[in-house]
Amino acid sequence: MLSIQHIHKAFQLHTVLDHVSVEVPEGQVLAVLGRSGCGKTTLLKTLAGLLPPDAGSIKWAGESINEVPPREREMVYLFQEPLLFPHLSVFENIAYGLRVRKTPEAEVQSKVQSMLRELELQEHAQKKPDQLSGGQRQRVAFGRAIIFLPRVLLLDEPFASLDAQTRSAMQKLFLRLARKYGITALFVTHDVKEALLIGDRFAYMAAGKLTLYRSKEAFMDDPATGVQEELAFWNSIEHNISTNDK
Amino acid sequence: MMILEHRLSTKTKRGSGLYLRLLFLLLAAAPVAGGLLYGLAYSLGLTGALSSGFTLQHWQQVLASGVLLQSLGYSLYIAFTAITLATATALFLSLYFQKSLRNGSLSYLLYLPLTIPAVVMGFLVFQLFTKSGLVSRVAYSLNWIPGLQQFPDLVHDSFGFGIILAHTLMAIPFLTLLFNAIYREQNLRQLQEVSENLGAGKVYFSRHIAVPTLLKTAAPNLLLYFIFILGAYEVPLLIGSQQHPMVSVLAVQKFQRFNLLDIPQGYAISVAFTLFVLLLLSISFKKLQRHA
Repeated sequence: MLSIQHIHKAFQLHTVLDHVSVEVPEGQVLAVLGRSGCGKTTLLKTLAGLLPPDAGSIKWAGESINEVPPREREMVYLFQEPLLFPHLSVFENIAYGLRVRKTPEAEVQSKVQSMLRELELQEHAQKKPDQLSGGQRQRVAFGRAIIFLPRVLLLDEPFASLDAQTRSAMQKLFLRLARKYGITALFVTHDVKEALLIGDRFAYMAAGKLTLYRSKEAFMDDPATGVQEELAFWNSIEHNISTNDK
Repeated sequence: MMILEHRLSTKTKRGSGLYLRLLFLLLAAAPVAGGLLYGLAYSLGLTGALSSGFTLQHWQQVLASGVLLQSLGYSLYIAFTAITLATATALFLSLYFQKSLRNGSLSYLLYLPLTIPAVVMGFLVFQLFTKSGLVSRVAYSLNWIPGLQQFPDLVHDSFGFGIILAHTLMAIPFLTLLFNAIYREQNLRQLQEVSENLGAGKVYFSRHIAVPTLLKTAAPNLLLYFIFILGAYEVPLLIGSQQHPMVSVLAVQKFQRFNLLDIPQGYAISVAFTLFVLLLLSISFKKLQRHA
């Protein structure tokens, strides 16, 4: 289980994370909803070890990992942009984490081929990142992140820059692979629908404070999350359409 | 009416494009091609003070003596060694002193040597590394050598130590700034975060991501700098070996001799060198395009 206790982070006088505490059981996805600038990215970067917290503790299976350097944390942060290595092929981009860990070549070949099949990118294996579409690049980044089965996957609005159709396909792909590999993840988004679709557990973040909900219903009932507002909007549209039909 | 106006404006655009291309050819390509043709004509005895009609004699003399091939081989050795040393140093500086380069302190220091002309750099190396130079005197005063004459030959030597050093010192700042610009443009700082996050250390990232990316992107510039050193004149003239002249020095030696019959040989060397460089450029750019 990933356990975060009273994480505090400030840049000069501006508090970005205000004593954030949350627990994510193994194999579950915590969807964190929040608007731009609420501290979501800072939270993920702090967990990944890319930013040091000012106070608080991060524990995995009961052991503190505050002092563990990012490359040994096994917590992969998936950036908003795919950030693929430009001179490496799709195959080599996906294989990167395995090669770093000196995995035997036969195992690298079979794991990457299998991942390429999962991502439906077999025919693009030898292409360079600049020959791929935005959705394909994001799939490669996703495959590269999960191929060595990290402890936790930290996703920072990974599908925000994609068009609606590709985004929907990516959400389904994420859900399928998350279930298959039992991925523990923090999925940050500003999209209510995406949060509801992806999460097993739900949290809302505003001004550096994180609220964790007991259930999906509690998350939906809280006016702050905007779920009720969204539902009311779609209900009114439906009502208008049915009135016009009559 | 509208269609006619559109056609006219398209024609005018095409016409101005053609004029611009012609102007470019006139200003950039024509002088080079003209010079090359004149040199070729001179080397074949078709023009010049002592021309006596078409002959291959000057080319035969140049090729038979082997002096051109020796000089070309020596120039390639100097250029290759200097560009390799400068590239390695510049890569090290741009990868391991990123913070200083970003904050400006190191980049300001790097701009300074860029302002030093090649002749001044040649003199500087001469002053430092001759047998009576500064380094030799310091070594003598520290009792590292029994006398100034025992100081090794580092200037006017057959290995071209002085030339290599001067060109390496001139190339390092330029290449460091080039690599630093590519580092930013290719987003290598963020890619390093990604790499670290995937479990790689800094050395692994440098070896597998940063260095290949920098070298691949900088390849055309490295090639051009290599050719610049290959054809360098001032530095090898000042501190190069008398027995092993680089190509430019060899050609000028032929031009400036009292024997006017040597001048066509100078032109033959120049033309052969130009053709070699053009061949090198075309092969290299084709290879670079294939791997792009």
